[in-house]
Amino acid sequence: MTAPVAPTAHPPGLAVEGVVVRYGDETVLDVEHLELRRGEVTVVVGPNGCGKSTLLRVLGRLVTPDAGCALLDGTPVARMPARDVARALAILPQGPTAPDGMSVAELVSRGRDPHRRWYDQWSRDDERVVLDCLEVTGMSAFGNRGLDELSGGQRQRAWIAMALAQDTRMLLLDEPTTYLDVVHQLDVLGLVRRLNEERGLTVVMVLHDLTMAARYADRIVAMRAGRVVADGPPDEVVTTQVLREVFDLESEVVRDSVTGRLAVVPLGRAAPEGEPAVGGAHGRLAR
Amino acid sequence: MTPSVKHPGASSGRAPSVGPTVVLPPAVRVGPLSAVWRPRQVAVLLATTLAALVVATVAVGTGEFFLGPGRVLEVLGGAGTRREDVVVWQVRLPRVLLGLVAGVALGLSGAVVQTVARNPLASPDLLGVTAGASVGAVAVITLGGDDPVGGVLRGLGVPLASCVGGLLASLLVFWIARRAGAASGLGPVLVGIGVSALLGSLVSWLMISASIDTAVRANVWLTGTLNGRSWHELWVVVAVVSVCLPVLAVAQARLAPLALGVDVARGLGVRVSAAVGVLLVVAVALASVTTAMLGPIAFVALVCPHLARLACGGSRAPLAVSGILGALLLTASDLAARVLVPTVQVPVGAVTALVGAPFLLWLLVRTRKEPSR
Repeated sequence: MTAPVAPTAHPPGLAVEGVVVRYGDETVLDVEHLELRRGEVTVVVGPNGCGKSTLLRVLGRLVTPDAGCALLDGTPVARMPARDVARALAILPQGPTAPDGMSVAELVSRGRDPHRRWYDQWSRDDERVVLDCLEVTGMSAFGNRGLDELSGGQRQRAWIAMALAQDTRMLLLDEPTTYLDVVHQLDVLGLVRRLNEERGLTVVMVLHDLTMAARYADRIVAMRAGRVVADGPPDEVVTTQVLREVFDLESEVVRDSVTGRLAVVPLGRAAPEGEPAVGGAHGRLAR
Repeated sequence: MTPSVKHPGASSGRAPSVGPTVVLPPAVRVGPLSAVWRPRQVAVLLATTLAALVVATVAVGTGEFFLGPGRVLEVLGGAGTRREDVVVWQVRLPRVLLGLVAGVALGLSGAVVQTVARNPLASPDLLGVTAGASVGAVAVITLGGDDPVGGVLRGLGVPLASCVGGLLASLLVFWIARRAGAASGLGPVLVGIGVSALLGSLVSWLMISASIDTAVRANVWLTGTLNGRSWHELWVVVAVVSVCLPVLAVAQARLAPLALGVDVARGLGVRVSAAVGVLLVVAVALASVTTAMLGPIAFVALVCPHLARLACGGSRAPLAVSGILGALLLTASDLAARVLVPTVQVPVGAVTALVGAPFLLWLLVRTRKEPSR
């Protein structure tokens, strides 16, 4: 570790230092040092069970690590009051569920909970922010609909609107596109990108689709077996060698002429033994 | 940092501003104070409170010695004859008031448990509270002995033991559900049914090993009734309720985020373990003290939150409405039992079960649809 752990040494944003998470005897997350800089869209990728969700949950204070800590602008989140964390950072866990009969507006209003006081339950600010979040997510027309009447993509946008209503600088999303068809995936990721560009929102999200990751990320963090394997801009991380190392995937990485971004053509499972060493030219390898 | 290539989705996705505009709840705002104004909830609350008071007044007047509601109010105002005073003040009023307060306790407890467990079928009955309280109470009745000292112990011990029993049983249910990775959804209910069956057999065993006299006394307790209840029982329930109410008034703000699940609630800044702990302890205390004083009263805690939600709309039962509905339901059931079968003392628990069981079945059929995400 090169950076000292003193609070002032950290640039604004999120970081983890020496984080270890164990479930029983199994170590599911072991990250020495990772910084997520402000203003970027970072996408975390990796095979099932690689600890990417756990990493996000540590950052969002849903999981307390067995060792180390997550830092928010240099302060350990575990030492911050829960409410202060919720005003600085919104996290949307994977597959959230709402009670039957809840309307979109009711759900989005919950995002104001960290700002409420017992004597100040529904201020003008609350109202303004909720309307704005419905507007920006394109959900204004659905505000009074029940969540159970919506399509998967609309529902996901409603949940994102709730997280936005927390009015935070950072947004953590755990697999926001799971179960969505391709158009709805584009909707949701386009929305996230736009929020980043227009509002300077720092975004960290877990995605499964590598082509989508390459397309929407400023930076990709690739994980395997609880460790960060590669960390850098898409052009450095989305390479045949890194994908083989991370996923055991044989693939061809091509530049898509329409988007100008990288696209992954998966070919098959790589032979587990005797794989070639990954060269330094392909991404900053943290291993 | 921003890539040179424009992200294709970045500019699309904003829906055109057509269609109906959102109607957000109206607000009451005075200076720095603000609250959501829910006229329907207030109307339902007033109507149910009024109904509960009317039923209670009628109930005080109803019996072998009949008094009209107007006369009841006069007697309460101090204008009664000696006989009227005895009937109203010593016999019927404590019983009716106990019905009201116990109903409030059950209604509140049910609403809290249902929201925290995120399960429309959860209630203290189904989470083992009632079975645990039964074991506690029956154990003290049957093992407490018949001598005068044992009798005193019994008087103090039954409520205490059933409270502790209810708390332990519900802790056991949640602990097992958590170990089994089924802490939400139907998990706790299924575990609760299992634990309740186990505790039920324990009650049977205690009853069989007891002498006939004590077994009969235990059985009377197990029927769940307001018969013969007096000021003593009322004050115990009032004491517990008045301790629980302020705690609930503070903790209830956590119910709305908790209804979205543990992770989302934590993300919204709720200290989940503390909040859930406080809320469940209060819910279990309310249900246990009621069970201790009246015996098991089936279904009131299960039904009231649903009725409250149906009456007020929205996705969550308002606590106050659920509580008042509990009072109304319990008082009305007791009155119905006395009016419909005047010759026998029908326990109120039998009436609530008669109403509640079909409701539970209807609920099971109704909730067997895909849960919303």
